[in-house]
Amino acid sequence: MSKPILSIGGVTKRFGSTVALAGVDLTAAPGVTGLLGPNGAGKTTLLRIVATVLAPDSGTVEVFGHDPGTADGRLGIRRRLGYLPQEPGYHRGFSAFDFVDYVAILKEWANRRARHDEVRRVLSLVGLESVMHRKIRQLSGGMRRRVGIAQSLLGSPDLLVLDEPTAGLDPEQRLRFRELLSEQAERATVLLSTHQTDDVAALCQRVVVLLGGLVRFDGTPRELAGLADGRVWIAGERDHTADLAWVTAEGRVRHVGHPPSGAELAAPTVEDGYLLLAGRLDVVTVA
Amino acid sequence: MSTWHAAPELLARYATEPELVDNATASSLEAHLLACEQCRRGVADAVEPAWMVASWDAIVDDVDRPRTTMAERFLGWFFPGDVARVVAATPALRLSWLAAVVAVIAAAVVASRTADDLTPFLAFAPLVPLAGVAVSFGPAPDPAGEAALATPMHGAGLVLRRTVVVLATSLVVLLAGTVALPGLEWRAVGWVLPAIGLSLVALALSTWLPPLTASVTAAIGWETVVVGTGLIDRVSSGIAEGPLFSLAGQLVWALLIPLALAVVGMRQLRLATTEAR
Repeated sequence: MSKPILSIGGVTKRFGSTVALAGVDLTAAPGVTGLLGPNGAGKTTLLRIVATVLAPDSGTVEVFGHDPGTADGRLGIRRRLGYLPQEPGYHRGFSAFDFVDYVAILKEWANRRARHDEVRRVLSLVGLESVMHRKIRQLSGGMRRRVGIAQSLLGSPDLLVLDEPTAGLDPEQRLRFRELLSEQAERATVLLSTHQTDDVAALCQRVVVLLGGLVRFDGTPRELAGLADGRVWIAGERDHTADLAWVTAEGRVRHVGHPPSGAELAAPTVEDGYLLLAGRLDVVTVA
Repeated sequence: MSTWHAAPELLARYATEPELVDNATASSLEAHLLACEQCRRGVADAVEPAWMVASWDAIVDDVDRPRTTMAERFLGWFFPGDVARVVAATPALRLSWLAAVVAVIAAAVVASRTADDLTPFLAFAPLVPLAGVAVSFGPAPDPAGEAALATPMHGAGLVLRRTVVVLATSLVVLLAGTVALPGLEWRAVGWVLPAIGLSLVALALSTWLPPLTASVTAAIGWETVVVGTGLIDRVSSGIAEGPLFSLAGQLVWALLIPLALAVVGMRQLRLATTEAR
C-alpha cells in the first residue's frame, strides 16, 4: 500500500449520551476505501471528521500531513478535498449550474471563465450537461444526487469523501458512477460510505466495517467475503433453523450460517460476509 | 409538419458565405432552421469544426453566466464579484426576508407613534439585525448546506462578511424607520450601538452554542434588561428615558462591541465547523 494520506488514531466522538465513535483507527491511501455499516454505526460521523466539518472529542487526525484542528491545517486539507455530505443542502432557486458555480467560488475559483469551464466539465462528467440550467427543484432525486457528486469533483481533488454517493441513483447511473469513481481513484484517495455491498465488491480495493462506533473489519472485499467461507448454502427449501435465509431469483433458498440438510455449499459474497459480521454470528473479526 | 427542406447549396452558402444570401432569404431560412433539425444538421456539416468550436468558445461564458441578483450587483461595489456572489446568497438578504423586516419595523414605528413614546421602537430595534444574523450563518441556511463547510472560503472571514452585510442592511432599514418616529431626538438612534453589540454578542456566543440558540439567548438577555430597567427606574416616563439608552448605557455597548469581536477572533475556528451545531 502506498503512503497513507489519511491517518486516524483513537478517534472518539460523542453526541450527548450517544457514542458515535469509540476509538477508531483508520488509514487510507490512493484508491477506493469503502465504509460499510448499519445506520448509526458512525460512518457519517467519521466522514464528517475527515472532511473537517466536525472535530473529534479525542484522538488524532492527519490528512495530507495537516492537522485539521488548526486553521492552517484545515485550510490545507480543504484545498485538496471534495466532499459529498449525506444530505446536501440545495438552494431551491439555484439551477444545477448556479449551485456548482457557487461551491466553486467557495473553493476559491476566482477567475470566472476558468470557473465556468470547470463547472461545465464536472456537470458533463455526471451526465447533467443537458439540464445544467434547470432549477434544482425541477430535477429528480437522482439528478440532485449527481449535482452533489459534481460539486465534489471540482478541481479534481486529491481526497474525495463521499457519503452514500449512490443513494437514489438508478442502476445505469450507478454503473456510470462506478466508472467515474474508478477514473478518479487512479490518482486520488476516495473514502465512501455505502449500504450497497455490490458497490463495495465492484469498486473498493479495501473495505472497513464499522459497528457500534468501532472498526470491526479492515481488509479487502475478498477477505470480507471469506469470513463466510463454508457458511453459505443453497437448498430447495427454507430451513427455519438457519441464521439467515431468503429465496433467490432462481427460486432456491440461500442460507447463511449453519448448513441445512441436503444443501449445497455456495461461494460467499461480500454481502454474506458483512451479514455474518453485522449479525455477530460466530465469526472471527479481522481488523 | 412541413416536409420542405432547404437546398443543400443554400445551407452551405448561408453557413460559409452569408453575405451572398439576401436578407429576406436569410430571415426565412433562419425561421425554418428553428423548427427543422435536418436542415440544422445541414448547416453544421457545412461549417468548419474549428470555427464552430472557436465561435462557441467565444460566447459560451455569456450564455452560461448565472443570473446576477440585485443584491449581488449592489455588493459588487464593495466586494470582488465572486465574493459578492457568495455573500449575496445570505438568507437575510433575500427579498422575502427584507420585506418581512420592513413590515415588522413599520409595525414598531406605528406602535411608537400611537403611544407617542420611543420605547416600543427602541426596545425592539436591536432584535432586527440579531434575527438576520441568526438565520444567516451555519450549515442549514447556506445554499450549499454542509458541502459549503468543507470549502476553503468557509470560516470566520465569510461569517464576518455576511454578518457585516446583514447588519448594514438592517441598520439602513431601521434608520429609515427612525425618521418616522415621533419627536425626533438623539435618543431616537439610541438603538444603533445595542443593535450592533447584540449581533456581535450572538456571534461570540455561537462559538459555544448553535447559532439560533445563541441569538435567542442574546434576545432574551436584551429583553430582560429592557424590562428590568423599566421596572427599576419607576420615575422615568418610559424606558427610552431610562439608563439603558442614556450616555452611560451607550458607553457600555461601546465597550461590549470590541470585547465581543475579541472573543470571535480568539474562537474563530469554532465558526469553521459544525461544532456545537
